[in-house]
Amino acid sequence: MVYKLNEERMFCDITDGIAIIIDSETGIYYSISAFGIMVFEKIIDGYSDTNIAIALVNIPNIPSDIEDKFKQFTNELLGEEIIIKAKDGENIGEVILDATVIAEGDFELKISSYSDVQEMLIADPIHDVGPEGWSPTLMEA
Amino acid sequence: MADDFPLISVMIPTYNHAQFLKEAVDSVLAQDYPNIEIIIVDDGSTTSLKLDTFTALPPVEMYADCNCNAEAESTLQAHHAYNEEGSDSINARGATTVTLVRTFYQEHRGIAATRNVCLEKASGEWLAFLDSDDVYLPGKLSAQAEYFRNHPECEIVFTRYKNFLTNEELKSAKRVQHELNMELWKTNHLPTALIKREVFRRSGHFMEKLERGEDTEMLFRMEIFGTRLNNCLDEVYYHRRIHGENITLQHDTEGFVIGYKSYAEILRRRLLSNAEKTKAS
Repeated sequence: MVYKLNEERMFCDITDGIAIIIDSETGIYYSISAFGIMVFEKIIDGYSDTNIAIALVNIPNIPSDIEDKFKQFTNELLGEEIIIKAKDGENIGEVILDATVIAEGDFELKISSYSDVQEMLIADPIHDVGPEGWSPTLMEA
Repeated sequence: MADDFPLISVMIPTYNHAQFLKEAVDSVLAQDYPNIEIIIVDDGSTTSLKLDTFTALPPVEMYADCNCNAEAESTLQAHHAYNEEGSDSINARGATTVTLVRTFYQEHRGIAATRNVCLEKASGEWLAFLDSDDVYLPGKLSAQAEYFRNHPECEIVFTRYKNFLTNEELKSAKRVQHELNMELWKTNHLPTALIKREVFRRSGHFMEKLERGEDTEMLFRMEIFGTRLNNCLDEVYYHRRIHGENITLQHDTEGFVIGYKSYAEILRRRLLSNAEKTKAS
């Protein structure tokens, strides 16, 4: 199966080793770090779950339950509607994982969710900024 | 008076909102708190303020901070005429609770920088923002001042607010319906707040590199620097206008991307800060 980011609803920004995903409908946001980011990027880049799983189990010294963990991770992303099935998605090939991330030896696949600023995140976007800046040049009286 | 009623600076950053500014200013003039100054900072509007949009006008001082181009001059002239008109209007209007309106013009720098200029120019010990397209409801500032008196430890008090729509055509937009359905918002919305100056001394100024979300980031930072954000009056004292082209803000627009990228940065910093706190404890 091939998935893609639910772009209609989710905004994703990956910087400084932390992925922040904001659900623009609910105001809930999610964070993923380190190893999880690498796997998450492969998912939304259009690699099939089968090929990602193969790449994961081939990592030397990785915990033996990594395939199950990967399934859980994918299901969680689907459950939160962060990713959706890519209807016309085609597997784009063999997955090559970043050796520097693997070398860190932290194989955690975890999504953390936060609802503490839910209303703030929902409240702001509509009001303050248009495509041209903080206050659109509108309604020339 | 200053002891019983510390000066409140109501700070109105504005940009091309001449058609809304009148209502915003009037809503401050209608407050019953006796010691108010209004600071209007025009962030390089490209449309002149229109004189007939103002009704009640207190004494005004006018400043231009930056090098002004021809358009800026035009805007400043409008400000100036507004000021002169104001001297007469205040007499006709009788007593006003507002002691001073000070307007400043700068070349366009964005909302965060404009809020910072507001802070620099404000002389009140208590500070309040008002977005130039929104309005205060009567009694807002006196109710918050009363709350400060009864809760001296409180440094920032919010009020509840309601959204309102001035363009009925927008009603069908999904996002607009969502906002309007939230009948009484409980979110800590910065422009509803009355804030003691000490909070900004501790937390610093608005992050000017943020093109949006500067108010949310500031609230996060206030919290990080020890300000409690759990004081909110249960009454609605602020009306927040939903209008015009900002409704076109969709997920595939540049505005959406810029906006959420700013939020992501804020949230990332917040997570890192919380992690450091946990580590330290």
